Amino acid sequence: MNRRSSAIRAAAASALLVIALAACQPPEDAEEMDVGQDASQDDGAIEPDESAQAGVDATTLNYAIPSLTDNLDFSVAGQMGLPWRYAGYNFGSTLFSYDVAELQEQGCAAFPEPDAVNGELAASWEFDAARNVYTITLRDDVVSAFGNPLTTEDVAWSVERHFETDNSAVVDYQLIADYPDDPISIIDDLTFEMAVNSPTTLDLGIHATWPGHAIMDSTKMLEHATDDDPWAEEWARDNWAGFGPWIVDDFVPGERLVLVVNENFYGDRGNVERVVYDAIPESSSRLQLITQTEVDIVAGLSFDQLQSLQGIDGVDVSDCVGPRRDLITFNQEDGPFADARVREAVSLAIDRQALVDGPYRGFAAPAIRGLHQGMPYPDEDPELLYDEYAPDAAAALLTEAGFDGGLDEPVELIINDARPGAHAEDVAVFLQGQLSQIGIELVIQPIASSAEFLERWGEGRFQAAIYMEQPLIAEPGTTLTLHHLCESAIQNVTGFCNPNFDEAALAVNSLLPGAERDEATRQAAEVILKDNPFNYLVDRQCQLSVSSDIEGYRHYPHCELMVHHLDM
Amino acid sequence: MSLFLLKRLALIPVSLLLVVTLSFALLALIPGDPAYVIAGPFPSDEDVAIVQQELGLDQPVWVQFKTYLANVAQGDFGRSLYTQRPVVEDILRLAPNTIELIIPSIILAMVLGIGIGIMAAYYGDRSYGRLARGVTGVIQSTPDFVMALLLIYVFFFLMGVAPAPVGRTGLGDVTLLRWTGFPLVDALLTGQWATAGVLLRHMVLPVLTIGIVYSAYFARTTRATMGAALRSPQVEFARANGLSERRVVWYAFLDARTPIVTYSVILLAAMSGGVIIVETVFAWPGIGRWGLDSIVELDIPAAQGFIVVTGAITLTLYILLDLLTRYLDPRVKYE
Repeated sequence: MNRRSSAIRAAAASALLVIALAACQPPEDAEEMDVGQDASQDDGAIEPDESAQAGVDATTLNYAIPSLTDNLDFSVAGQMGLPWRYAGYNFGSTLFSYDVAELQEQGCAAFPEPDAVNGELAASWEFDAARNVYTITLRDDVVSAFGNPLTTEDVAWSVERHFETDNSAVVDYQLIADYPDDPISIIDDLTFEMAVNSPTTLDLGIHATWPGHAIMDSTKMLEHATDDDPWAEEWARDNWAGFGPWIVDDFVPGERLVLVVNENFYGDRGNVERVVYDAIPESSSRLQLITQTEVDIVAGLSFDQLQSLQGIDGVDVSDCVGPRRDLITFNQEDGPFADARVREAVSLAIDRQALVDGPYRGFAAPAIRGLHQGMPYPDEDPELLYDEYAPDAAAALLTEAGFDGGLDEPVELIINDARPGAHAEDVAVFLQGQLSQIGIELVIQPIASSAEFLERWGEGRFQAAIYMEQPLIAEPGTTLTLHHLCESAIQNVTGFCNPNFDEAALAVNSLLPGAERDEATRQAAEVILKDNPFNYLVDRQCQLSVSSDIEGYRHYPHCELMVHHLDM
Repeated sequence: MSLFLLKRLALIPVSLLLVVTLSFALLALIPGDPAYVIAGPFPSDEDVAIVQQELGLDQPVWVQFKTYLANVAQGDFGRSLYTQRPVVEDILRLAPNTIELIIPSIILAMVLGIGIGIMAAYYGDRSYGRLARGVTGVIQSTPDFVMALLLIYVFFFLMGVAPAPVGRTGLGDVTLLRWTGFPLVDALLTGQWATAGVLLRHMVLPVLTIGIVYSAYFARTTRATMGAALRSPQVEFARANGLSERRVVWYAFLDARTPIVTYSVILLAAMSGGVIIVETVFAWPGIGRWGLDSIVELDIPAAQGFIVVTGAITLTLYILLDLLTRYLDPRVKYE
């Protein structure tokens, strides 16, 4: 083959290719998609061409997050922790909410009272003398993005769906509050009764805290229900049919979520018309995006990254009260940590302020009380505070417990980034150094898989563990009954058992706000301080990096933004 | 040749069966139970047991395996334990992104690496040769995540000429017409030139990262094989006949190309499982990150689907490599 004929062949092949490309058109039924996946387009949803143009014109808020849910059905996605939380709260469509606008620094410095709810979908409510039945009237101006008005049928169907599909909802409804299995009774299209077995502080508040309790447009959902899928879980994976401020314009599972204004939304809102959540796993990339003003909000930065942002023009680092607490705990069923004096020695040997200044870079507060210090709390009592850092006293206490000079055997400490976060190893190293001063040798064992870590945690198969307590809401009754009850705790993993604590904690959970509840709270908190079922380290705060151009920021106790209030 | 090909193709399902069996056994040995994650943030023992029953995790491993094999034989790879999405759906969504990343990356790595390697081999101990060897050494000692972060810092953060590392497109919407499932291919075929431009711009840094890092391995391979070829009797004879140096180098490359092609296919097969670190740094929605998360979180159906698909791709590529090697060098015989 000579060079000339090769060239002719190559030219002919190229020409054929160009002609083929020019002639190729996609088939008429070609689907439209965003990169990665075609989100299920539904009746009434914005067509992609319109969306693209709307995206150009709309006031768009860009939000970079570490990870995004793969599933918009909160009954499933809500189990998966943070990937859902970043966007999930913004869907709203709950019966109640907490009004933080009137609180100190719009909720940044204080939690709302757990029973001080505002109506969202609920217009008004009252309860009977025994407070076993709430009569709730819905707003008459609520219409979903699909044009269906809100009725009590939607409430009844949604609550039933929660019970049938969402494990967390059952915990909320029946362990944190005290609902019966079938709490809803319809009176008319806008009025229903909600029964409780016994009144608790969070009877209404649980509807303000967890978007898994969102009220769905049952008319729309039922269009996609089948015999095999009566709750339309398949359709709900990629679609949202609620009554909140946003509708889903585009969803690429795990990558991107685009929300646009629900024109039928009943409430007030800022000028943000479009929200784009992008999952950017690499925190240094998210840091660069906010400093380059490519995005408006960034979540999930490390503490040193947050520190680097302070003082940067155009970026605000919000650091507000949050309900989480980081802790170290020990298996108390047998071994040295079954002795409360050993646990107290651990508490005395930890310099919590140094911990906050070190691994947390100041973005937390030293745990000073048996309960989170931001909670509505009885009057401060000096005896209800953790003792100051005192390693000598700790060593003396160990000696008193029969461990003169420390423990003979090293203690395996398991950690995982899922809880409390990427700083788990830093905290573990810090504690290793602190406890070595009193002769307790910690051997740090990172667990890569959150599945393994949570299994070992749930089964109590650990000697020591660093963990993050993350109650549904910063409220004493919820927190006290989560982990420490002898028999009826939702999750007692340490083997801790103190009948005095049980009596006080159960009273807190069953009493309504008042002096009697305050006293029970005080008693329970005192047991936590003295017996240390968990050695609480810090009270976590909520940090977000936000463009300085954004206004209308309200700080909710769940730590996430409700972006429909924002102005840009 | 046809018999050889048929025999190799027949081995694919057998090999895949072995891979699936081994991986299922290994995954079963990994500690942890995904039911504790799926059951919610505060699962009781009863909640966990219910989830285990719903997902079949309470069955003996051999029963789970039997059920899985039966489903796979019918093309059903099951659903993710966590997201409840069909595994096939996730694979079809993510694999094209990985393929569109690794193919241009390999091509870039080959072009760069072969060029540097030829330079190193041809100039030997002279200055250009030493320069080429030095460059190879520096690149080879740079981990891919360092290269990635460096490129982002220089070209995006400092110079502002590269787009943000936020995935395949920018932070705004980009809507495509889906045809093949490969975003860039679809954009080009359907004439969406603006979208293609966005996709290409966002490919630059990740492709550069992988291309530069892996060029070092091509460079070393090329230098070794070209060095030997340039000293061969046939090259000496070509020079003695007065052929130009360019022609001499070309003849030497023809002699040395087989190991280079072999290495490129092996690398392509290895990358078919995704380049996890680069995918993470650039938020690239590829199959590697998805597969790793599935394995770490014990999402068994997703992990198995990932293993089967990447195993099938690898086996297919190796068969193609055998055929290609035989075509390039007819002296090679496999029987």
